[in-house]
Amino acid sequence: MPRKISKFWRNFIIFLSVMGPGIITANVDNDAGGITTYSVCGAHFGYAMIWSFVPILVALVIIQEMCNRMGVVTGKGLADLIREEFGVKITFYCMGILVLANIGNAMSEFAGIAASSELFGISKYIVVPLCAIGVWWLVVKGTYKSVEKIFLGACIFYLSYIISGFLAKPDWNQVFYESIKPSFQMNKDFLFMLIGVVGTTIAPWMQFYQQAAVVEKGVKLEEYKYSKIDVVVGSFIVNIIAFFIVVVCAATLFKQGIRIETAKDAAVALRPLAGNYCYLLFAFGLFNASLFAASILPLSTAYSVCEGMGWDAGVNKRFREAPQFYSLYAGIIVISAAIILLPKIPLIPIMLISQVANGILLPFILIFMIMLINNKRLMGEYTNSKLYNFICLVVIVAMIALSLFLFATVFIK
Amino acid sequence: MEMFIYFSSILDKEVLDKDENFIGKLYDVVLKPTEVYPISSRLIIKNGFFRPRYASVNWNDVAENRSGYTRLKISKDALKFNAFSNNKEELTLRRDILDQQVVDTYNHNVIRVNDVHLLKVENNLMIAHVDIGLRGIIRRLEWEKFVDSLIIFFDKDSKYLKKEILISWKHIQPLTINPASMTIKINAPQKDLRNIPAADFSEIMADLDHKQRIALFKALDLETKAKVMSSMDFQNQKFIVEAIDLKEAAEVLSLMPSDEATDLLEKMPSLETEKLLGLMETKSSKRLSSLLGYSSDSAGGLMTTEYIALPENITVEDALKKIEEKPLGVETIQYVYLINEKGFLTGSVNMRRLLSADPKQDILKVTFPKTLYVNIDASVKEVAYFMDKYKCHAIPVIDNNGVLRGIITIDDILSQVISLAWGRLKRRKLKRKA
Repeated sequence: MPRKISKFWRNFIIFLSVMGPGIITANVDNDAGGITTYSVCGAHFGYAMIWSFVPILVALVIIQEMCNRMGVVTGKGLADLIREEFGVKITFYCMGILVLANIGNAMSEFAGIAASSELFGISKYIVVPLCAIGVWWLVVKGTYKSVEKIFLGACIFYLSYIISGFLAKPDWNQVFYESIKPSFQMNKDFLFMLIGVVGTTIAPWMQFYQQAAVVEKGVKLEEYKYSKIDVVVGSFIVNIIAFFIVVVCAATLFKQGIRIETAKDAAVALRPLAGNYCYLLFAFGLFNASLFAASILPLSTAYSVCEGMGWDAGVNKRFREAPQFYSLYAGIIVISAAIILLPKIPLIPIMLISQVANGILLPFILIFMIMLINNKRLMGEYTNSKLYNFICLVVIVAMIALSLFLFATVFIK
Repeated sequence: MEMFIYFSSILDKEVLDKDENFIGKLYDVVLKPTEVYPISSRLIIKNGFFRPRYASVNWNDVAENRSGYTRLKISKDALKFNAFSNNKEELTLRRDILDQQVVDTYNHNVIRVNDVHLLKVENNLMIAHVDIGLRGIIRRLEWEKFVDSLIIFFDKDSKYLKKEILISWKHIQPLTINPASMTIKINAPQKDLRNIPAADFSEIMADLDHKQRIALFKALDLETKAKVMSSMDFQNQKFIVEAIDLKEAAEVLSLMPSDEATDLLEKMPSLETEKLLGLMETKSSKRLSSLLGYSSDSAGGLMTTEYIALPENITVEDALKKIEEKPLGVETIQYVYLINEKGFLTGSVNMRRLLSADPKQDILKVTFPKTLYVNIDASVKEVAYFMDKYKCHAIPVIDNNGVLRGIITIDDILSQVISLAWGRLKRRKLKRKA
């Protein structure tokens, strides 16, 4: 018996040493945009869509696992692999769209920071620039290891949503019943919302970040199974948090029939219904999620682009050695933070552009991924099995259909 | 007739047969190794998009390569198309060079190839340069004309128009891994790689992915391996030691300076350290395991055992002769230490004193009036203060009985002080030359 326990602890320690990339990527996924979508989903449709988190979880695990495997086996980032196998032309256009999409994503994070700062009664003209500088400083002055620790720490603050979920006192029997029974409404609003929920959970930057983080961490082939657990745990966490956000809004706002547009609306509406603590926790969760994602998105973008284009990159290098890297990194932060601070900026159309860019890019990235992971020369014995390939193809076709649909809705609306 | 042609101007462009019939697109060029510059040997043609088929053409059957197309001497019917582009282990332009990372042995860094500059030699193509500049990317994107005319419109003499960044093939080391041996084939003379300073080489290694890192390391000669290993940080060292054969790792370790080798062994898991020591020759394993006994932040942990010690009862002339005979690998020949028959440190002398002394004189007559040393238990801080106070570049270390055990050189202290003062990060940043 004692031997078994010590084996368990040994495995657990190895897991701790490779843990990070999957959990961080998944949590960044619950960013300002995600929280908004889940809040609106809960407020407008109650528990009706909770079942969709199960298929989303499966899709997320499958897609992120492939990136993880490619990172461990090849030791190269996704942008590297795309460049080496598909050439500079495809890489260049992919990276162009990625930058566009991620500037939009980063803007929505700074908008989230601005919104949460107003919820706490602090001017956004103070908080947004401070956060922008903080984000820049953290990465330029820190090392990957220390930054990863801070990021993992930030993941704990997502617990605030779980606590607020309990504070909202939902009817747990109903929640459980709705989670296992898929319900479907054949109307435009429901469909759009469903697509929005799925679309916000799987975004192109995640694949780049996940793979880059695994490579940077230097996870070895022998440790791969632990790294897989990291991906699965991360995907579970992201879905549990999303679940609780929906539950909070469904138990309070949906019951009262309150319509909301943003996460900020949700927080404000929560105050009289669920109490001050719930409100504060919700607002703090939004701030944490936005800041967290804002620190990762620009960095991940700059890394991917430089990797793909063959420019020197890395926070260990000086500006003169990696000018493109630092310019891109600082540029994305400055542009997205500055636009949020401009008065009377039309945020909605800018967000739509970003959503379109994400939607265009995702199908291509998924197709490239499936081609890369089945390349024997790169992956050796670690290519997909036939069954796994089939599941991946189903997931990918579904994701492509959804993102094309989402893409179309932008114009239908 | 153009002398040079860019690979991008024929890649994925049409291939015509002798009657100007369209056969397919040029997919790849297989190269034949020569002394320095590889030369084209076969052409791979691709036909079809969803179910591509490939045909291989001997270069003797190629009529001409022009910007935009390639023409063959033979007719379309003479070609056999297969489902695979079969080009086993040879070097090919598209798969192994274009868009891949290669090592630039002239500028000591890892670069990505944007385009390949080919020289037309008789009917063949020979790799002359690789293009790593922005213009290469723009050419591949097929924006060259547009961007050029735009720039000419604003500034006729813009530097951009002439700014091709071409690097001669003789300085390029490709990183294609041979799937059978899992190593990288080193360009004929290893001289180029060996000329890269070890500190730069370890940075190059850090920029490679893990497979390339191991494959390149395996391809080096033993002496270069030891040098490169010495200047890597521990994470990379550990990575390589675990990846290569333990016996080979032991050989590399015994060639490394003993202070660097102990640093590495100390941080490795103890089981592996024991295995490595067991595989070494008794002499080096004895030396290393005795060093391993000292705490890493004491003089004993810092010192190296590669120094020159001479008996105290010889003449200056004999001493100089003995120094000449000493094998390479001692950390410094600036200082020479004198010991008696029991190994006690009895004096020290530097090169200048020896050279300016009368050769017939007893060596004990020319030593420093005071013999400086530190005790083996002294802390790093004490050693640093001591060396600063007496302005010496190296200092002998003695044990509690007065027996000479090793020396500490200024660079060992310097790296300790730097890591204390600025941390690891800054050290990495400063290492790269501007």
